[in-house]
Amino acid sequence: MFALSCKKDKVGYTPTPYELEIPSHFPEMKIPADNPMTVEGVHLGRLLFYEERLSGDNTQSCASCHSIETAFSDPNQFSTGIDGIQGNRNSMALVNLGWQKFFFWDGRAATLEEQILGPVPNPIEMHQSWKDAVAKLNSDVNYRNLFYKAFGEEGIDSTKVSKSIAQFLRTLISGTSKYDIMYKYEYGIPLSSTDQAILSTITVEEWGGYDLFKGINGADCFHCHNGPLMQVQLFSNNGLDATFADPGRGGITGNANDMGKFKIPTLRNIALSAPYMHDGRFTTLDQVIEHYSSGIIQSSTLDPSIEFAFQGGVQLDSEQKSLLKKFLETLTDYNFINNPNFKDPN
Amino acid sequence: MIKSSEIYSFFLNLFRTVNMKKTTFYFLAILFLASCKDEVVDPPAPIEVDQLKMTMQPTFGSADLVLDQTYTTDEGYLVQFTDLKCYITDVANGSSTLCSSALFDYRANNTVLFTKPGKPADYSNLTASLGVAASKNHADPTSFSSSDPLYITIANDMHWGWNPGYIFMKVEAKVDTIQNGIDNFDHTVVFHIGGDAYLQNLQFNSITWNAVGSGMYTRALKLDMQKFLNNGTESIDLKTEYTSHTGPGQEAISLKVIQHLKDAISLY
Repeated sequence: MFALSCKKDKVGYTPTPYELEIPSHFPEMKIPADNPMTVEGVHLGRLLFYEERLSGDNTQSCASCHSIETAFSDPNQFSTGIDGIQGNRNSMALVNLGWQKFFFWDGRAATLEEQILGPVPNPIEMHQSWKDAVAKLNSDVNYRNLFYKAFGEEGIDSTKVSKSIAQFLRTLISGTSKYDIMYKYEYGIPLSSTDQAILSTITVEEWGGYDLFKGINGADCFHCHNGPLMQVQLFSNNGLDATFADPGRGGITGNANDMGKFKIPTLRNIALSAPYMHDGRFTTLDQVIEHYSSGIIQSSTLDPSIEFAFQGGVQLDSEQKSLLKKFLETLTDYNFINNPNFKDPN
Repeated sequence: MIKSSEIYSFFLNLFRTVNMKKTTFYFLAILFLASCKDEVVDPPAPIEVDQLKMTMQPTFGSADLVLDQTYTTDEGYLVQFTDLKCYITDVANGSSTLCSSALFDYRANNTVLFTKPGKPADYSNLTASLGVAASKNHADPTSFSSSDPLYITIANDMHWGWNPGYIFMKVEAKVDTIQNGIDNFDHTVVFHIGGDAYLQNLQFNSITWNAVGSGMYTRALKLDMQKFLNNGTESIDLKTEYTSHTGPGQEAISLKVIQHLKDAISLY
């Protein structure tokens, strides 16, 4: 009794710290102090990510719109919720989320935990109140035990659901593509024997595509997509439209200078995560390349980094387009999409 | 305030006069409860280290510059600056470095440059670089400390990749070059300058640091964007000189732009 009165520690709560496998060329991942990574939390989060009872009619889970086969994105232009209603934006690929500074295409969520709270009660997505979702989980003794193991106290709530899913999502690290070997080689970062073997398979065309990718007089992609994460963390209007049916970031800030801007996504696993753009308007990489080559549309908030917008784009010839596509395909990380720890555990 | 010796005396008397067993129990219980409270420990003596805070205030002539607001250039164009960023590195007095790297980002961080420990008298003269020295410019951007402005997640869009390295400065603006009384900011200005050849040296002499209390001293720099456009010797005509990503063929405008930015920075 005295001991209990002195301490607030949870009796018997001995979670196992989860060691993230951060690639050597990646930046440090900052884990929120109030949601440390634990083996128990990640395990629970993985189950919940694939848990269909989080939806109102028990038919959809997070994975329904973020499937591992498509690099945790949705192959449909717009995802369809449990009531048959479609959204108006393409589901973003879930990868390297532990390094993101904001979430959703319009950046309306500042943290991963906050982002996760959105889809369950959203009437056009999983359409279930958190109260009902938590009640379903509470009726399952297995979940009650798993939540206890993960958080060291009885009770389930939306915060714990979001925290555990966030822990699982932070493990979705993609950093073993061919591009990663090219990047490490370029920076003189030591290569393992496996890396060396992959390096020897990188073709002249892939290197040529990389040169184009980062060339200011080439494809000029690197302003928005570079580094280990293959993105800069900003909002951009990439010249899709002259006027904006979807205000994007401007809808959140109300700032005229933000209209038509959307979060710059990573290009990791881009060959697997079609369709493309915030509204999924392009179904192939060829269409995307053509957009930046000749389809840029001027508007008041067009990203000034798109240097050749005055001529509609960078004007690549067919050979350059082919090389660029070859390079974009080096961003596919097969270890990532085949990782057994990411798959549906059931 | 009751002293601990008084509490002890109280319980000693109680112990003598009341049932021994019961009193022992309560005494121990109270001792345990008391042990739960935070112990009163004298705080460690604060380490007296002066802090030097340097800021940079963008202006347009004598007025503080506000992003997205309209200013008039010497040529009569209307200009709205939308982004001002630059790296100021190796801030030092001789061999004594005050700050190895600072990222100025007016939209994100206002006038902040850096706050570092140091004594005002040791830094009355400073040299610095506008940009990033070659020795760091091509390093792996994850190799710096995660709090270093050169670290990749802080640099963010101010890093191009291995070959050119960091973007030393960004000036972005919208311009109305047609003087017809109708505002139409359809002319985009974008200057993204980087690369070893464009590193600029800065020098500030006879610096007076202003004491603001608690060992904090401040000093402001000024970034005069009117002077950036016209440094007294030559002007940047935004109608014809409006873009550089430091690409091939842009060497002359790139050098001119970063030299103008250097000329625009002074003690405030």
